Amino acid sequence: MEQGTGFFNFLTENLSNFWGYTGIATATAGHIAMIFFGLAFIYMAIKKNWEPMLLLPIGFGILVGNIPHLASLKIGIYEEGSVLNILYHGVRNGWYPPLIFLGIGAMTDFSTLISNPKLLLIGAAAQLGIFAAYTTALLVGFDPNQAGAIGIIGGADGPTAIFLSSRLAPDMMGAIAIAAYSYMALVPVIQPPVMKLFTNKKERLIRMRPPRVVSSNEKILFPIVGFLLTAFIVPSGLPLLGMLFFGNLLKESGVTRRLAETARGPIIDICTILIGLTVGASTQATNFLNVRSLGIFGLGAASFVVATMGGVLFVKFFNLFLKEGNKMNPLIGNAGVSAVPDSARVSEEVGKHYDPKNHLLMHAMGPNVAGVIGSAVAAGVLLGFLS
Amino acid sequence: MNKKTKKGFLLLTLTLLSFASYAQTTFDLRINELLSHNTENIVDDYGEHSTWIEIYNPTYGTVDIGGCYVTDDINNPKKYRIPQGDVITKIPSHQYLLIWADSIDYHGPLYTNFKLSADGGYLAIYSNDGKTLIDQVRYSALEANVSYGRKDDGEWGKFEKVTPRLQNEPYALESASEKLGKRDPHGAVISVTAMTVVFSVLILLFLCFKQLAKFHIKTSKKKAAEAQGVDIDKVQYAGEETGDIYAAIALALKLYQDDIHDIEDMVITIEREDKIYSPWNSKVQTLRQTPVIRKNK
Repeated sequence: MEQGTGFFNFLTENLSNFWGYTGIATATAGHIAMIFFGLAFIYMAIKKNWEPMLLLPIGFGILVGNIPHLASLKIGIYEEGSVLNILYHGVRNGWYPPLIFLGIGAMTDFSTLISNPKLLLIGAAAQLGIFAAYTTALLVGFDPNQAGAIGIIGGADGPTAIFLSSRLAPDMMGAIAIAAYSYMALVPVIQPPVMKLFTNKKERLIRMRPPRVVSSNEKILFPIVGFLLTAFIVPSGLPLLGMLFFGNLLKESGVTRRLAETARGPIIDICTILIGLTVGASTQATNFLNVRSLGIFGLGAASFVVATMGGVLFVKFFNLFLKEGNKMNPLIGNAGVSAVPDSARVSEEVGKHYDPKNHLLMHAMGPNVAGVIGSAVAAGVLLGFLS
Repeated sequence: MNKKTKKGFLLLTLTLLSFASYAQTTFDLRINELLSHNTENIVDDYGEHSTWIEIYNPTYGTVDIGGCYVTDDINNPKKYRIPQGDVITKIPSHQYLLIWADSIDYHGPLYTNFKLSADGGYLAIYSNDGKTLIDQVRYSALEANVSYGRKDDGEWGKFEKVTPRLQNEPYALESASEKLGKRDPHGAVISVTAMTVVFSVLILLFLCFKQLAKFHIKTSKKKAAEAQGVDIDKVQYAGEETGDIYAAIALALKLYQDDIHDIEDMVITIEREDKIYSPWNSKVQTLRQTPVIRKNK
């Protein structure tokens, strides 16, 4: 009888101990809130089709990162030596973003940009959002390096935002990455009102000259010359610019088709999965749910609006110097934020709304890819000044 | 490629090469710190409190100081030649090298044949020709275990906290971000500077590819003129095609891809397969006819 009671006590004690290990016993309201946040990301990815490649891994990553557990189990992303921690090294040390840039380079066609090089300047103007967010972040009390990391959200380039924040403000990287990718997904919602606000009907109907056919020599020269010019001036942007242009050379050279396919296929896919999952998992409620994150989200949204405005207004300004027939449609200005190719699609959709026969997609791809170069250069400049 | 272009290309290459050859050479090396009176500071490989000289490599590449000269005599630049071909004379990027001045040169490549004078003196490093000065410093008498070195702002000064093989003012250093925060609290200067840099880079690319496009169009016209046997001015550049076609193709592809999905709508549609009769797909037609056996009655 006594033996039976002892066994029962032992069993109860074990079950009680086990209950203490479970996520149910250790969950906080923060964890539950973050899980809902992750589910919202998954919903947006599957049902709304907003940046599913990114929002789905990030959303699931948020679920993974917010299952409460004891630190002694060594399974969390911040526990040294755990599987997630090892995968997270690629984010923390900035390995994945350059590899993603390699893939982006290998899948990007710079033809529109080469055929109409003045579109490059729109990519520069749209970086205004970065610096508007930087100065505002300083005003509200962020340190310069944190402000730089927040500002880069305005570049609308997830890998660049992760790369820069991992160097300047690693503790804020999760919030910055989430903000950057969320706003990239929300480009079709954020940009059209700004585009309509700063343009009139006449400007929206401008038809642009069709791009000329670009020779293969020009396409091969572009990554080489582009890399040398940008990297010599901003060496701190070397990891991103080098990989972007290298990837593009693999594509355009015509002799490394297998390498280009690997770069734009398996490499970018693997890195996207790993970056999405680990960035999501890094947003643990204890690190993520605070006023600072709210500030990051607010500044990120503002920087997107300013970046869009910068691009649109710059096209209008540039049009003052262009002859009739050569003028650009200001609706392609929004595409200067990199968010490839979503912001170019927004140009097409908004343009089509006013003139169904005016296709702006091809023209908008120019500033769109110029935005990728511009945001990488801006990140290099910030890194050079602040690190 | 015409002569003018060839010359331009050659000039550009030579200019870049000259930049490359100048970069990361011994001329960038700097005397960073020296200790002329060592009684309690670090000891050399022989356990002696020798005087020492610290050299800093500020470049982005490894620099070999082997073959250069170190001297404490302004009239004798070739007083001590650092032997060449030894791995220990190579200074990695942004790293420091300590040379012991113990007056016993056979102790090794990094031991000079003179000692630094505790009463003050002169110290210089010369390139491997023994004539070109790389860096020099004059120092006054120093107390024991007090070094003389470059401060963060580049000026020379005394250091009670001696820092061999390290930055001279690590404790006083602020991060770049902190410095910038003080000098540009509202971020206006950095914003203007950074935007200028971003614009400059993309303007350079714009100019470069504008010229390249002109060159390409000119070459294409020239080729077309040659092929058609007409004057170049009469040739119309054939590179401009309507973007509507591309846009339509792109949109069609987009719409097609959007339709592809792996979530089925749970409705199975079975359609009747229509087979159009043709003697070519008729089995009967492909079989050999069974011979009819006729019996003669």
